Amino acid sequence: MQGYLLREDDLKRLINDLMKSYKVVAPIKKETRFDFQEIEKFEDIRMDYDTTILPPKKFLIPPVETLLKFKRSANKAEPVFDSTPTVLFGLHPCDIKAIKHLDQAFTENNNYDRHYLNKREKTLIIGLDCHPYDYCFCSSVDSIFAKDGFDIMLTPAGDGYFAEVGSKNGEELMKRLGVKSASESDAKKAENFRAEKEKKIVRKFNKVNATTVKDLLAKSWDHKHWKELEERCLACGSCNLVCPTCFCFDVQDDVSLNLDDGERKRIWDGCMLVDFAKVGSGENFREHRSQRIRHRINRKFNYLHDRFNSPTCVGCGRCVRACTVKIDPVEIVNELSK
Amino acid sequence: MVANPIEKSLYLPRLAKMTKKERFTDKEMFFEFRFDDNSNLNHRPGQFVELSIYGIGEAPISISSSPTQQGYFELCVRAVGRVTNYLHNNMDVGSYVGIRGPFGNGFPYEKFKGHDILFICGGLGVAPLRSLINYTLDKTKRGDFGKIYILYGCKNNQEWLYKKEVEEWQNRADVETLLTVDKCTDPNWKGNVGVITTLIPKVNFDVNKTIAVICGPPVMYKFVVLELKNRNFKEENIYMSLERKMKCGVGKCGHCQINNVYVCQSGPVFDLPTVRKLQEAI
Repeated sequence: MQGYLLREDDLKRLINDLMKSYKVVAPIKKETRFDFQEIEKFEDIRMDYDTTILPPKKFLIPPVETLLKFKRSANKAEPVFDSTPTVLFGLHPCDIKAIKHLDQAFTENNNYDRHYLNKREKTLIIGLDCHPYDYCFCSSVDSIFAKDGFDIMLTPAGDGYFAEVGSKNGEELMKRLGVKSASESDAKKAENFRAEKEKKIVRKFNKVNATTVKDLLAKSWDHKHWKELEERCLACGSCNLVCPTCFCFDVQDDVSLNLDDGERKRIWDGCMLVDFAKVGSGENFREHRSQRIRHRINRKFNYLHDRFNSPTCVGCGRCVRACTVKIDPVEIVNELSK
Repeated sequence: MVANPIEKSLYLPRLAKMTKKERFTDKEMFFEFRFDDNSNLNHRPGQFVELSIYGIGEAPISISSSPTQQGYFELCVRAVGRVTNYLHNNMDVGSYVGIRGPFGNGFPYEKFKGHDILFICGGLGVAPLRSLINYTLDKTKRGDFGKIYILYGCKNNQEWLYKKEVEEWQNRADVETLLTVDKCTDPNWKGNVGVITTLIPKVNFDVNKTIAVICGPPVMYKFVVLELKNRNFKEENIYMSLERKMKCGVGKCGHCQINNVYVCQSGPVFDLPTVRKLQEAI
């Protein structure tokens, strides 16, 4: 494994250097939990965070994002793009893979969403290998290790970090920082860290894996478990909000007090909410909670698999933690495969 | 990631001017729109547009005119939500609306060439089918297709859309048009009374060379398909246009998804074998 070795002070120099020309977003402590926020100083960063309340998608698809600014009296509109250079620092492998899926979603069908891409193309990703927490199941969905999708990937190695380079931008960052190449023993320490991490992921699919889970879902359409879940699910949409690969949105117009200027905005939406598939005539194509849960779980493990070549669930466990009644994709998959 | 050099928003509409507005029923109105540069919409029958009014919102509307009609396009809009009610009540000839699209696949009419076509329209479902009906009836295209059958049903006698045009279809020797109302509300009505499926046994089509094209309210499809199957219709010759909430039209927002397809990308037109594989489709 080729890479560089970064000590704590190297990391500090890196962040301080980046803060001169980038908005630097990193995990910080927020009351009892962690959250990705724009940092003011290096010391805000919590390298030991478990996972964040919201995934880093909020910086690429903000909860409310202006697409157009319009003037009603003139019938004129202009698109609004944000391309602030941003560093997403400290992303765990699951969140890195999730952003790869967002990239796929916002470029597929030859429809390039510049509102997303302009931000994305100005974004550097510096990953950080993680200490698993209670809800992780990344080893079942092929997101336990980051293979690509980052500029730099940091893995704890002794009292420093083994830094793997994933792009030209990453290579330049390391050169500018002037750090020395990691030794074989540093690489070994990083490998050991990853091996230890793998052992700590205990929540797993019993009978299927990242490739075969889609077949399980495909044959479980009429499984009675969907009805059982309907009894528990509150259809609150929390799982959609905290999911790093839920990118569905609604579009709404917002007019200012002069009733002339306004903005067309996209707003996070969720397939678990009752009106999601309802059309103008009043017909609701997924009226029942069981239908919506089945849709969501299929979307994560089956529907998008054909196009994205992978489950889009990345096993971060945020949905389980956010769910009031603890509906859990691992339990669902294991129940379906019984 | 593939770089797209154009700084272009998928969500920016172009403006179209309303050039005709006509009331059909209590709820439905007919509109004609033109772009100021006289360009065509360049659509296929069966496609839809996103119609928007700044400050009100955006809604998917199927295109009702044939692409053979140049220089303008027509929509038939039911007032059910904010955008459509605003369009009905607050906008007049001369007003501008935003248009994105055309979106969706449209009907594969190239494959229909040389075939007879059986149109089955329920209520507002006549709006998208009219695009294909008028395409096939256009004098430059008529020779490409065999017999044309049009079955059109409404809830009652007050609900007819495109009434004058339907009469023209009835008067054409090369078209067999059959109408029905679920409930008769006109004492002078001499046509059929009953749901749309009651018209199917009355048509003497040749299943070996007829394509069926269906559009109507969601509840209609299963029963029409069943009736066509009773007449030994081949599944691959049955096409339908499905209604879903196509919020963005560009395969991003997720609202129109049925199983693994986005209706705005792979539809709204599907053949029956495809629909059979989509468990939530009909």
